[in-house]
Amino acid sequence: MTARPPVLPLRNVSGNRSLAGFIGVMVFVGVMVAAVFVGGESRFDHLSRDADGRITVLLSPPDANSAAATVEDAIAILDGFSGIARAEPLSRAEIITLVTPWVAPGHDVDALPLPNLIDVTLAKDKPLDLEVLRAKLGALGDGVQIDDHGSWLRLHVTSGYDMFIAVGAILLAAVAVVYVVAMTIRGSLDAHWESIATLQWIGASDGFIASQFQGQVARQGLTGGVLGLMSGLVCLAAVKLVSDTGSSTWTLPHIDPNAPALAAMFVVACAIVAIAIVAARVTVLRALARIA
Amino acid sequence: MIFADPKARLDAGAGIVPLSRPGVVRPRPATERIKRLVRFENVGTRYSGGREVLREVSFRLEPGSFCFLTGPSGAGKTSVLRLIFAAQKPTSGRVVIFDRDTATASRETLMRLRRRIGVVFQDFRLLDHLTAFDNVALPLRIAGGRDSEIRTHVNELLQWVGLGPLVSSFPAAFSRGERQRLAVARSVVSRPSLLVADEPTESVDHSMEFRLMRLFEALNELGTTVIVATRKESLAAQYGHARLAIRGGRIGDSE
Repeated sequence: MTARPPVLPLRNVSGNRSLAGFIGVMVFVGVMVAAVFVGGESRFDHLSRDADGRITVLLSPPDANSAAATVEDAIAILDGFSGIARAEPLSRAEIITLVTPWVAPGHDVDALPLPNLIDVTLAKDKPLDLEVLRAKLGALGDGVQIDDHGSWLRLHVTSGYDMFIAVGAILLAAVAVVYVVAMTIRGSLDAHWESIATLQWIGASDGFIASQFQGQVARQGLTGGVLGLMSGLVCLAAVKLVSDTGSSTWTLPHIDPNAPALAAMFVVACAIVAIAIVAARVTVLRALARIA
Repeated sequence: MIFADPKARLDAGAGIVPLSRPGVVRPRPATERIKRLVRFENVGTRYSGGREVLREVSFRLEPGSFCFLTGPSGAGKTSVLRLIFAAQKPTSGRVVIFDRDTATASRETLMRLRRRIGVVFQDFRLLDHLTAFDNVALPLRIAGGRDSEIRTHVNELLQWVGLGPLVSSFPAAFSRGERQRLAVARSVVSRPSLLVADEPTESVDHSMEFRLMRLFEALNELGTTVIVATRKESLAAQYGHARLAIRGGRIGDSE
């Protein structure tokens, strides 16, 4: 059995052929934003997470002999200080590992005058008076600094806006779909105006006429939706592959294609297609009501 | 059943089998009694430019009647028919269809009323991107008919009007006469309560004119009220049905 032909075909109207492609692009944008938001975690996030609840004491003494004494003195102060759970000096090898990614290739990291570092874990249930601690450690010498990771944490707070950015981007994609579908439908209505009048004179309801356009937008939307979703999945797999091999720069997000991320992608794709279908119906019904 | 030789069956007095079958068109409840199928009360219409088209037109059609609306070109026949299927509203007076005033009926009500009216448009108003089959099937699809029933009814009706071999062809490739027959087939396929035909035999030869008129009469015998607008006085005289003569936008002699 052959499918019924559309009574009012969309495809004969200029621009309609690209509707599926446009919806596909918008679905791709939407699913990628959803994937990054739900399954993504940048290296910056790693750093921020690691920095949260910790401080680092840097000791840059003038010579190696006094350095050892200063680390011990600093540990003694930190161990007895309220609000500090644990203080542990980092070995030379650990410090070199930390610094290496920040040094241009070809430089001998071991030859650099590296400070000693003490990794301090803060107690979760006790507040830390950072100014008093800074004063006490400052008494050990000029080369003692406390890095409270404030800049990272401020950036981390900023990154809390990513939810709004993600939702905004998806909404923007949805609005673009609504706009393009509405324009397409209006063009189609203009092109088929005589046929629409004939249909009305032989008893077609507004719902019947709307369903003619709605069905075609649904088909094109589903085509675009599937293409956009599949493209998103392929892109996601490629990002993960590059990220896992470590050949990317640190700004490339690490996206975990876990179940929530895949579900979010699917939901976003379905939502954008559904919005396109509803937009088609509403546009037709509003246009018909206006000329009634 | 497909008519192998429609003319022979027609001459033998065969009924319109496809149209008499129940199913696609829901039978009207026996309790429904339409008092005023078509009633014009002092109806006047004007073009947007102000020229008067109809003036003080009053008449009524009883359920089950057959009527010719005659008059020369520009007399107002098409305007009367357009008022009947509510394509336009009167500028004065009242048009009542199926007991409903078309000027005050809701949009939904008008749509429902129109589904009970078959219309043969003077300019056919076929959808050129649809095949002959799909054009004729439109009223049934609008009414929510099932595919199997639509297939049976439409194919038989296309055979009846002599377009069986052209079922999958597009109207753009048809002659004027074929397009007219297709328009007639579309108007009667849902076995309407009221059939409104604007010059339905204008472009067909005498033999097909007879066939189409026989089709309308058969429908009328099955209960459909028929109004045929024609310039051809001879056509109206030939069939002996009631006649409304319209001239200069006014109803004149009626028989």
